[in-house]
Amino acid sequence: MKAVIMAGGFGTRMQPLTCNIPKPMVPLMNRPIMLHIVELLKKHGITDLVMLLYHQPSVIKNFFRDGADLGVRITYVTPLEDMGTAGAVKCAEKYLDERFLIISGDLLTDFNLQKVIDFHESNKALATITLTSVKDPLQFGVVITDKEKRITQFLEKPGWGEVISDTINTGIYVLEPEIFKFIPEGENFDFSQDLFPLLLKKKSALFGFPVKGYWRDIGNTDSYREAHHDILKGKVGVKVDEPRREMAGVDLRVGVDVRLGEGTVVEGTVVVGDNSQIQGGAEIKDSVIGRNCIIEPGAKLTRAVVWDNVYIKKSAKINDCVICNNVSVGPATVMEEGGVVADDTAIGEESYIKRDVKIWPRKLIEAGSTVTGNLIWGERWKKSLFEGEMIKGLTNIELTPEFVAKLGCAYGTSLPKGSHVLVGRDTTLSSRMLKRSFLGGILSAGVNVRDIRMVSLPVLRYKLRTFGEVGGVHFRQSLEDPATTEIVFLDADGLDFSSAMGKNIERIFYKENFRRAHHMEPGGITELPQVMDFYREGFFRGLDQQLIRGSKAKVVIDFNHSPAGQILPQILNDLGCEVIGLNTYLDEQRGSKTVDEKPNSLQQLAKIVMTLEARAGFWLDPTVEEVVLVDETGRIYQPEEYLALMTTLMLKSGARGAFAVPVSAPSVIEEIAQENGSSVRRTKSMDRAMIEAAISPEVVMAGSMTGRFAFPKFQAAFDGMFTIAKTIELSSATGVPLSRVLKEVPKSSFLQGKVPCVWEKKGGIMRKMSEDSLDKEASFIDGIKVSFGNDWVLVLPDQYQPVIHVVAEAKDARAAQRLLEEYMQKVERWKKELAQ
Amino acid sequence: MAKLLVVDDEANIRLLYSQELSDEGYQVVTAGSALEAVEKLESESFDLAVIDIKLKNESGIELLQRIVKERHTIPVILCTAFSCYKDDFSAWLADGYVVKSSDLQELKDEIARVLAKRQRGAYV
Repeated sequence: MKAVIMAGGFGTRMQPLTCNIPKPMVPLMNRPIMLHIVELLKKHGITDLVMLLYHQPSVIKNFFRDGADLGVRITYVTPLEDMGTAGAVKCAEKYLDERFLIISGDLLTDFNLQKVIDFHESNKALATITLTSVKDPLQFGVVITDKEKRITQFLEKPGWGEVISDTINTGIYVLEPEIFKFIPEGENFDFSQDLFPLLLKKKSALFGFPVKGYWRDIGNTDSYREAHHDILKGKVGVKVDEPRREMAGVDLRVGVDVRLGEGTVVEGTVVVGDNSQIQGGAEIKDSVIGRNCIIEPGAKLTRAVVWDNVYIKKSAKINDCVICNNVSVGPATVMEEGGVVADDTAIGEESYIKRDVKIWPRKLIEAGSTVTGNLIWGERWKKSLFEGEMIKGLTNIELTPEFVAKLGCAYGTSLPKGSHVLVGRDTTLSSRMLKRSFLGGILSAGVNVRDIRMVSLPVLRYKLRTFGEVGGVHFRQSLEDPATTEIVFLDADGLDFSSAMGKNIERIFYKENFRRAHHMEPGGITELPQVMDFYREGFFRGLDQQLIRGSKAKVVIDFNHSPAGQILPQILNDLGCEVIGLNTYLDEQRGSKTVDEKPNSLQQLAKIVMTLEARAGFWLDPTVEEVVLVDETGRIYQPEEYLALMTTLMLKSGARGAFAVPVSAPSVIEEIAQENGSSVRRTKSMDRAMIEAAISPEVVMAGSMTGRFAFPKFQAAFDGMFTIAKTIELSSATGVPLSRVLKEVPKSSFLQGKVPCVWEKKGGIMRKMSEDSLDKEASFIDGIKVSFGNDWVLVLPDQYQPVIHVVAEAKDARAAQRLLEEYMQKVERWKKELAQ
Repeated sequence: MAKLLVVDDEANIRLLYSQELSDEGYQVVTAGSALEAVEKLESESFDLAVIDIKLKNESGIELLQRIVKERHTIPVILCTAFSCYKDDFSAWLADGYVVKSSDLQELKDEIARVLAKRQRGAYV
């Protein structure tokens, strides 16, 4: 008698356990599931086996080879395409010239197969289906038989109303070779859907034989875990390779070269694979541990299934989870029941993996993370959602609609019930999709939304300064990576979120401590069609309109397909300017331009400015905050040059007060300001710090080192549209070309560099820098800035990247270069010292 | 002590607001019309103005626009019996919007909020 083992499935429902291996090879008690089937067949005297493979056949062939080691003879058959269950068996027809048994390669059963074969023979059946009774027959094929056990009816996956029996098809069949007459060649043909109904119709000798015993289809990860529980409880007997070790009250099976540390607590049934170490003080209960694993002291495993090469560090707690190959679990990590961690994943210390979370292969979970949802795509699970004022992630991969809906719910929960928030987005379809999901979440918390749809961030900020909303959110695609969505959170005054505000939302998000509105009280969505008119009014009030009108300026603006293209040309035309707009149309399909395209766009812009003899050219970034200036000669300004120019222009046009600039800005700003009786307020480089400074009554302008400006007379926020208008106004006031104004700006050499530095060393580097600066004149507003007379150098750790910035300024270019190099080398040296 | 200007065409409302807000520790000056309000704004300095939108034949929103245009640095709270003006974008120039009620707590809270914001330097 021969047997066919069906081992061709993809194991899709078993993912992520089956991401790297075929389902029949998934280990059950440290042995492939299919090996238990081979043992069962052998036990009943069936040693001539045909294995039907399809998905990753080599993995199975490499393990079983010709079967000689196991005392069986194996023939492999690999159909070239998916033929269905019966169709696949048809491919093995030439090996099946006598009665044969079919069994699935991913079953766990202890059925007495001989009884089935005997029944089949005594009834002279053409086909016998092995039946069993289950509590929940809904997910299986129900089979009805008459008194003689002849099959009378099939019900495939019935509803409860259709259930007239709890007897199901187990996927174990005994067949005569004549069966192949009923299976067409080269066609997709299934046993339960095609062949058996056909035999029933033709009134062939089709029987069903009910068998008592253990039977489980290991079809998904829950069933996989439950199969282990059943084995460990003794509900089903399977062969375990590891020999039993004597220990009172414990069923302990231990492989070769296993080290059990002193003080290890073992309870229930525990299996430990070859060459694994359980260090003293670990507690293991009802668990299976694979080969080459290390479990450190204080770790606590209950009902855990651990595969090979797994490192579980101190005090980690794992409850009813599966951990696949090559995984490291950080110290004090907690994994709730139902969790699955697939191959090649590293979980950082003190992480918290919530119930039923599945982490797919090759992921990195940052230390201190709380993982609340399945991590399938993307590489990292970040411990904090917010990066400053925003949350960013890969569109539809990290930031999926369901993730964002939950985020909206957390944000809504943080706000008073019945309050209003203002929400807008950029031109892209991705932003629209995610924004809509987010709105659902907010509404579910009983918070209302004023949707101003496609709008630039400065306009949204402007509206927020008035009454009515408790906060604002803007969706946009990242400039650095168009596949990334950025969700910018603003407070009630239109300012960027502070870190405390972000933390509050994170707490609610991770604890899932959501406020769900009563079904009669969800929030509502309204629109504010007049927002643009309001913005335009304020815009005009903030400018000297007469002056601009009189100058009849001609300017070229690259709008980068941003929403600004819909409003700024009209505003400037109304002010008597001639605007040559580039990329003004909105293209939802195309999305915004990327950083890579910027240099080309700037060159193009410079050319057009010169050709048209325009007064200036402006490159407006898609976020409508940042501007790059091109003067009438076609010169493209560096951000620090634009900052110095604007300061000069403001002072020339009579503005007096304070200028807010970051610590890293050139000191020529002070020089220019002091000459004109004004002052400079140095701030941290974070946007919020600059804008907070801009709110102070004496500040007339805040300027960043990225080409972003805020003019508090209009609004204390970075606004690229207003920056363009203000530049035109100021240049009109001075009446001289921009290139001439720049010539008046005191010259200095300003250089910037970056040193890569891992997060863990950033603090150490800054300590070394502060020790190094003890006897020097230093300021500590943001990073450490050391002055040498008029020259200075700044060492500043990046907020979000593993990078240390070094900035140097000196009157003399060579001195600046020397300073920059000296301090970059120092940072490199400190990095090495810290590594020792 | 913060000094408030209350602009309302109803004498009884002026009296009520004056008494209630004085009890809160504010110095209160009232005006019965936009014209009177402008005169007072030109001659005295205030920390905040509370303006009714319907002022007989005048409009409180126009008064608000005038205050903003003439670059007064005082914040304005619109106080009205109608909530519909919340959708009028001219009204958004205000720093607060309160629908009139017999319970003055909301107005008092709004005044405190806007003054605190002013103290943080949110007005130029």
